[in-house]
Amino acid sequence: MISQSLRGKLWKLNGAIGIVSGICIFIGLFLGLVVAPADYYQGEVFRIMYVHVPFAKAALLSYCTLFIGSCLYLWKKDLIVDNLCHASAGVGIFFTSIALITGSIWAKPTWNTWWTWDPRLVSFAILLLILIGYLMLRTFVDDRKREATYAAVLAIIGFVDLPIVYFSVEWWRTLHQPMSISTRGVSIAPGMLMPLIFMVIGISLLFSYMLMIRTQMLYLQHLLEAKQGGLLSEEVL
Amino acid sequence: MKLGETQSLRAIYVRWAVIVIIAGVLTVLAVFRYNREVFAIPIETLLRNKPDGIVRILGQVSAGTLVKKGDGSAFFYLSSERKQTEVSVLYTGKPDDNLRDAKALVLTGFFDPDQMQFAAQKISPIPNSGFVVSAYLIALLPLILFLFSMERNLIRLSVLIKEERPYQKG
Repeated sequence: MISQSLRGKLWKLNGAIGIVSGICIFIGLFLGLVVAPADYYQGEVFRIMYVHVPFAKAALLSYCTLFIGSCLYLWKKDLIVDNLCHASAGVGIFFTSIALITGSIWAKPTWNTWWTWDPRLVSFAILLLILIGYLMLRTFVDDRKREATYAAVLAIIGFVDLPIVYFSVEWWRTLHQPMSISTRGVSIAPGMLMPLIFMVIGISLLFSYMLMIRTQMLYLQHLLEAKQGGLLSEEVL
Repeated sequence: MKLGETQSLRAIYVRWAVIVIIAGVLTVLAVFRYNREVFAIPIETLLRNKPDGIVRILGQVSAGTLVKKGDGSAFFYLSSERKQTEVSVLYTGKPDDNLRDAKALVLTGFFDPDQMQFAAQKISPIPNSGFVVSAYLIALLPLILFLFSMERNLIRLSVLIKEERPYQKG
């Protein structure tokens, strides 16, 4: 079990995470929208990168959290960890959807199409379907512990998609551009890179902040449901 | 609504008011930069108003009119979006890959009303700002609403929990 003191410290730390995230996003947006020069070939459209890439990174981070949390749940059987996984899937759906939509908007002026059956796009869309399936599965099972176990197993199986999403641009010849920051070096101009770094850090921290809030909400909801269930049984008796 | 809930919600509303103000300032700065560095007028407006000084115009290189010289300069006709109006352009800036037949461009330079010719010094791709604005709105507006409703619901749940005291037996 996660100790109560650790949980308390984490929830207190969350306020600081929210503030740092806000500052990073503000700096990132200021540099990205006001300071960064326009791209030579794409012009102004490249600025979509400052929302698309951070949201996509946060979506991958959400699934990594879900995977690690699911493994931890199957090992420890801690329902707080299950709440964290549940929250991660919910917040992850949001970030994955936004990454797909902003990517589609970026694709139209650059590729002249809203959607193409490119490995990166398809594997990312599958990630969204896995997350939706994960939440749907949770609604089908009544018993809380069985629900958590089944969901954890599904999340672990679905993790297969994550390396495909990440390495699809390396493994196959795709329309989606390859990684701009890799072991081969950095292929973005410094003036365009700085806002991206701030935005990625800011949105990733915001994901952590939202994850903690959603986890607290689920915890309190379960607590309340347990109490109301108790009251109901007392009334019936 | 209880006093604790009111105070907590007020703190959230104040915080979000600050966030909205900061977002507003950022938007204003971005719009200023857009007007200063990106905004371009259509060819019809150029020919009608004949503005003095440096301006940016938006149009498409008319197919078959582009003549490039060895030093990177070029002569061509730029047509408006509906191809109803044309203006002759003499480009004297650096050689640019974006200068191609039928390519939509933004040209920076000045208009000579006597020769009815636009002297261009810089070429930029068309801004497509609508895509940028929609991407930012689609990403950030739901994010703000989602986060705001999450924080508010958490406060309400916390207050409810304090009232119900579910952690106490009986």
